[in-house]
Amino acid sequence: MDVVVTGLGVLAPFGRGAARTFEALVAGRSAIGPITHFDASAQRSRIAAEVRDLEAGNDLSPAELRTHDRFQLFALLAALDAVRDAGLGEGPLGDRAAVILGSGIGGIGTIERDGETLRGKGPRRVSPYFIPSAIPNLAASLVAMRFGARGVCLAPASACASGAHAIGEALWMLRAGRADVALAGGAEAAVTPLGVAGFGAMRALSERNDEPERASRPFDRGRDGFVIGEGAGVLVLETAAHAAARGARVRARLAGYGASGDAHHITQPDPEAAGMARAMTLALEDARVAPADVGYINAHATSTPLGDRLEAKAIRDVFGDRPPPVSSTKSALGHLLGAAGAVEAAIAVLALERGLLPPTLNQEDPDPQIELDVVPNEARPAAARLALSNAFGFGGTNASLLFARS
Amino acid sequence: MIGRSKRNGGRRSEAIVSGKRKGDSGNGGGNGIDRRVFAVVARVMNTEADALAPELRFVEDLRADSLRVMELVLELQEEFGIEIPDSALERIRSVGDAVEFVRGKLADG
Repeated sequence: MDVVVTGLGVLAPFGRGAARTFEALVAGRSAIGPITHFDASAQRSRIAAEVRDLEAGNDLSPAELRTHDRFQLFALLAALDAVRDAGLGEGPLGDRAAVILGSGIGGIGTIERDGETLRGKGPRRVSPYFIPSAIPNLAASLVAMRFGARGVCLAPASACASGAHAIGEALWMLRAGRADVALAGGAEAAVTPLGVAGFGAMRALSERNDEPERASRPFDRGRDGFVIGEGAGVLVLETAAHAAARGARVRARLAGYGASGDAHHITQPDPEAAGMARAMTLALEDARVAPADVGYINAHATSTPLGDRLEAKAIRDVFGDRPPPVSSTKSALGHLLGAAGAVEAAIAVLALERGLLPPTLNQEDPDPQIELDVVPNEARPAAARLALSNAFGFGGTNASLLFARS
Repeated sequence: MIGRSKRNGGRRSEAIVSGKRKGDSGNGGGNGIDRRVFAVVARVMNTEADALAPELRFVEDLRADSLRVMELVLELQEEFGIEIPDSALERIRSVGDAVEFVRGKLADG
């Protein structure tokens, strides 16, 4: 049973709107700058790709803005855009509509604030909204409530692969006949003191603080860690029959999904990159296509020394000596953690639709260990028929999504 | 950061709009206690103080759920530096109940 993409919703550091994000990417702009959400002067990494303005308009009530964690608000806005894009209308989506919307961490900002309240004022001053704002599945639940989606409702938590796993699991659920339509994606809002300090403590973040726009440089020899970002991405997925019955515009087909685990280390990828390669291979097999059919890969590549090299190795292992063009849009957008896989899936769909590959920025000093065409610095026209989008997470969890031009 | 710190009233429920009596009835009695209670209620319930009236009940009229009521209790404790025991919640069902409770608590010192 074919599953198609009929709606895209993105709230990212370039602002609200999937097309807006894509257009900024192909224009070669960077969304990375100094952290403004809090005083970051004592942090190792003081740069981020922040959502500076929710642009919520009348889409969120004052009560929602006051009550929910930021990652939940991101999810609501991205879901609204996706549903509108799909032309699904305002009415309840019903029992056959699933919401699968993940987050890597959940409401870390809320956890920090209420933690301070606990220590400063005692346990009886902790907000009654602390738990609902902190738990990762509440983004999915709020979206389900907003649209009256009463099918399966859950939140994959697979770190930086959460958004991609959400979309892949939704594909399988739709194929299995468990739902007709799914809102799937991820949301993250971890540009907070504790979030930045935590990734900083791991030495996972770029410390190129004086040159924010040049800090995220996946595949380049000068890469020194990722730049943290925030946002949300939601796709409306439907069975092809459901989309056809309501005359929906099909933006792409979600042709395949591969998922694998490294079973190796809490944060480092398997040194042979076998798990990454297997996710990609499984996605291709799931779609019954050959590696040579793929015309573009939106890489996970976060700009860490080890991760980028291993992903490049995995791509070579799967695609051989002539891999398709590969770009990492994290060079411009930062790393949206649990939202990354979903936002980048939307980017892959737009790349197919528009016949344009977004570039990898900051390619100045090629790394001889990266034997890939990384679409350096400038967007490139290319009529790709299939695009693969990778997302890998801490804990050794891997997801690859394969989209086909409609 | 956008989140719970945002204080942004302005949306009225129908029940509130239909309320006729002005909350801060100008007497400023009890050292403005009622005015301060109204302000806290308005903030928590996402409405405006002048749309409130003493007889409006939190759950039935202002459509608060149990979490919202707990948030209100928390905010009143913060505002007035008092403790509101769970055993008192049964008696605090309306805006007027809240004013009365706070006034009594402060009078008890």
